[in-house]
Amino acid sequence: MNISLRRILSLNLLLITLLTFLVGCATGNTREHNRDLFALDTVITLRVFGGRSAGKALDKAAERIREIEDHMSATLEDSDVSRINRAAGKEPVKVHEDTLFVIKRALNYGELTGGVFDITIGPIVNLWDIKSEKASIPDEDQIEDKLALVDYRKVRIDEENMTVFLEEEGMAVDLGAIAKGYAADEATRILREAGVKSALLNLGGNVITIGGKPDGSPWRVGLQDPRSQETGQNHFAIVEVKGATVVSSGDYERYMVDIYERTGERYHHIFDPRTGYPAQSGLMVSTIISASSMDADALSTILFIMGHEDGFKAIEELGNFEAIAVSLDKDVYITEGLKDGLIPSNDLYNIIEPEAGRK
Amino acid sequence: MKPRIGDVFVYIFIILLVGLSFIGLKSMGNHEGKVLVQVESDGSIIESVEMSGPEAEGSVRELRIDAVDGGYNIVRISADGVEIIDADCPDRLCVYSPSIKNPGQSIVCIPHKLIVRITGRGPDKGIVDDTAS
Repeated sequence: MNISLRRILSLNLLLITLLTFLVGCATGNTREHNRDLFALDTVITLRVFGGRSAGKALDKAAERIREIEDHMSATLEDSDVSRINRAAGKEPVKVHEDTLFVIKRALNYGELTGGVFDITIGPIVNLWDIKSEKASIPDEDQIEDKLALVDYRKVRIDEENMTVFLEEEGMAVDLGAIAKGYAADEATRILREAGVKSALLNLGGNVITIGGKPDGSPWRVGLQDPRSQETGQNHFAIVEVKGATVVSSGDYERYMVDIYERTGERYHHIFDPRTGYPAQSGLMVSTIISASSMDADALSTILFIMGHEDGFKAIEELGNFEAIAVSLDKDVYITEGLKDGLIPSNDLYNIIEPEAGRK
Repeated sequence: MKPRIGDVFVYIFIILLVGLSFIGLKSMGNHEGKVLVQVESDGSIIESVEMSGPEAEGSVRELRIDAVDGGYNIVRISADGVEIIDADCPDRLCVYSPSIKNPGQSIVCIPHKLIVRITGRGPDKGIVDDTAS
């Protein structure tokens, strides 16, 4: 072996080792970055997998969620939403671009559903005040009065001046059924743009995935059993997803417990804008699986209010979504695309095969 | 053929690199194992206790957690699971939450900015990664 050949050999060896080492480092850096936030009136958990850049992207995503809260919170005094509501019947209010975007989108859902989805539900939400300790069933007259103020067509938007105006005094918008979804989409966008390939986000029960798990397999998302206190089970079924969002609306998250125990009726937090009462469509929970979390957020509410028959029809017309509706009898209705995708995990729930020819 | 002094350095360097890589790999693979109950208050972990295993049958621990803005939650940890048995938050949703047992599950008290979470990989590894609710 002559000298130059030996040199080349050892150089090669060195190079190969270095490369292996570098690759090892790159993958070794793939670790979990975690963050918990209390924002948008709920708890938000962000789990991002990747190197240092993923950690930085996580910081940015969290910051963006805070910003959205600042703009759209119903409880912060200086939020766009609070300012719009205070100026109801008085004057248009200048808002941030994202607030305008979300309100426009929400009004669009109002039109598409003939008012089943209505962000001007605020007066009804405030009247019932389900979250509070002293919540009670309001009088019919009170509900009647407040219901007169619920009408998404009375929200006037001026795109040029970026203002929102509620035509009547006493009106109030509540973005609770859509802001979390928007925040999720924004967080997802920021993470994706930073090159994150694997993440699992949970915004108050709305689950959002980027890609699959770090090992490439799909995320397993459990669907909360709406009667877990009675059944002792955690989930009514499980879905496996990659890069999709899973959003549920149900009667079990916030409801009046004392009343429920006395009369057997549940007064929960999802109101039907047509009646002013908690929606009674025969469902305990509705779930949407889609690419956009904002759409899923709105549509799960729409499905919950409309019930499974009408809701599935409406969703089919609105686009490419998969849906699950669980009736009070624990029957689980699913869209065609979930036929092989829903993993049963709970014998108390009866999965109904979708009718042929219907999405 | 005699190895040159430069070659020796190269070999030593290579051996060192390989050795270091192994150390790195080992520390990476050490995530499995213990199942912990973590209590997080306003974003920081304030309690981290090992979940009772089968050998700890019958052992019950109750932790009183004082919230950042005042108030309390009482967390009960036993072989049957983890639950919040009492709290003075306005909605008491945490008390009504069902008990949790598997890694990945959590109970939340939003008014007190509290999260009780089970972490780690248990024997029934990854039943679900998260729950949509």
